[in-house]
Amino acid sequence: MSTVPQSSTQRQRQPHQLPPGRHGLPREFVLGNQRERILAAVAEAVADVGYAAMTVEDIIRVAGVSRRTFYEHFKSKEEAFLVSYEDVSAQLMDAVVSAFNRTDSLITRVEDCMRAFLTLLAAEPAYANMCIVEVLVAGPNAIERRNAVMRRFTELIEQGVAEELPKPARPPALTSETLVGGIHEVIYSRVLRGETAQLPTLLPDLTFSVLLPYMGRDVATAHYRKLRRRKTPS
Amino acid sequence: MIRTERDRVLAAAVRVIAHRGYAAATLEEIAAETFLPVSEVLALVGDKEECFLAAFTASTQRAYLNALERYEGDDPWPVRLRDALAAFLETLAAEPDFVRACTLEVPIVGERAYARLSAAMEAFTAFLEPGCDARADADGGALGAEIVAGGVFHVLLRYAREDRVEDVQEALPELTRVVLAPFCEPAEIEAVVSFGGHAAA
Repeated sequence: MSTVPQSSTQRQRQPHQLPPGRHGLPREFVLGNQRERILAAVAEAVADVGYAAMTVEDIIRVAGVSRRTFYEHFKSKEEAFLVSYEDVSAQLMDAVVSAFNRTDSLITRVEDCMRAFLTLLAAEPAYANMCIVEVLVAGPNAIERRNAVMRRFTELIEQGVAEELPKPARPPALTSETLVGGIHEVIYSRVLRGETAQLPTLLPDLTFSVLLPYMGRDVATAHYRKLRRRKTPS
Repeated sequence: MIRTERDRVLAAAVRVIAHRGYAAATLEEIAAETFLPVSEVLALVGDKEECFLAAFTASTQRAYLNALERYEGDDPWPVRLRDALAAFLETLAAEPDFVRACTLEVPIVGERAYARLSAAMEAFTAFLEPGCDARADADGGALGAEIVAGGVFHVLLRYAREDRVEDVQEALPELTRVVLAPFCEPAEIEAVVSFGGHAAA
């Protein structure tokens, strides 16, 4: 990447920003770089000020792009938020589905999917805030996307249960819906309280709660004790 | 039953917010529903946010007291819990506007509304205390009550989104199973679901 000599009067360029003026970079690279910076900036800006108060100005300041550049990529703050949310939630879902597909055992699936989810959220507090808290105030389109993600989690539980238990032994579908909803509320309250970094410590209790209605108390308790004996994942 | 002008304002606030959404609803629209001047609404309750919060509190208190009335008695705890849940769902089914307003709009209203919702869910978990106490020394159930309360709320949210709050009582058997699952054995749960929820022989 070429650099442009900076005079003392020029604003200092941040490392992630492209050099001003002609730099000879491929247009696709430039556009991709700008888009990714804007999407990352949305999560950071919304963590700072909340979705309602967030402006395009907030986003471009964090992203280090011009207003014109922003509007070349997105129509509004809402569109930028929705795309950022979809990107991040797709990453979360990919990690959870990967964990799900690594094994056939319902017990291991529940533990590994829950661990992947909690660990990712804890590692990226701004993304956790965006996906768990702010999405609820970002308008009906955002809420619909959030609901679709929650339905996907419910479907994963149902798929795992269907592959593990014979039909007569399966609890009704409302069980998975209330588990996903209830776990969401637990995580929501912790993220709201600024306890995102501690989410992985909930792994034993959350895994127990999911396993209990499907595998019974003895199995859920045994697995809970096993998880408690292990070190807390960092 | 609406008894006072304040009650009328709160009922109007719930209707307007349920149908227009909190962001679009105005104090003028709420006042127009009651045929009172805005100044009177402000004096009786307050601004739009105060109207929402007061209506939320009044309606959740009503649902809680109805549940409590059916919870008291000498039946075994799981049966009393089932009866409380039945009363809770009956109250909600009769107030679809309240459910729509107070589930879907809470995030839009903001922090103070969420605090009221948290308090309401915590009040509901009080019905679960005997089950929690019985399992206090057992491993793994620390989040059971919180997950149950949050899960029931999400089911209500779905009924509100689907505009089917009037049908929420159909979920009573399954919600009973879900609510009792952290605390009771399967055979006991099925007996409660089949029993009908009134005094044992």
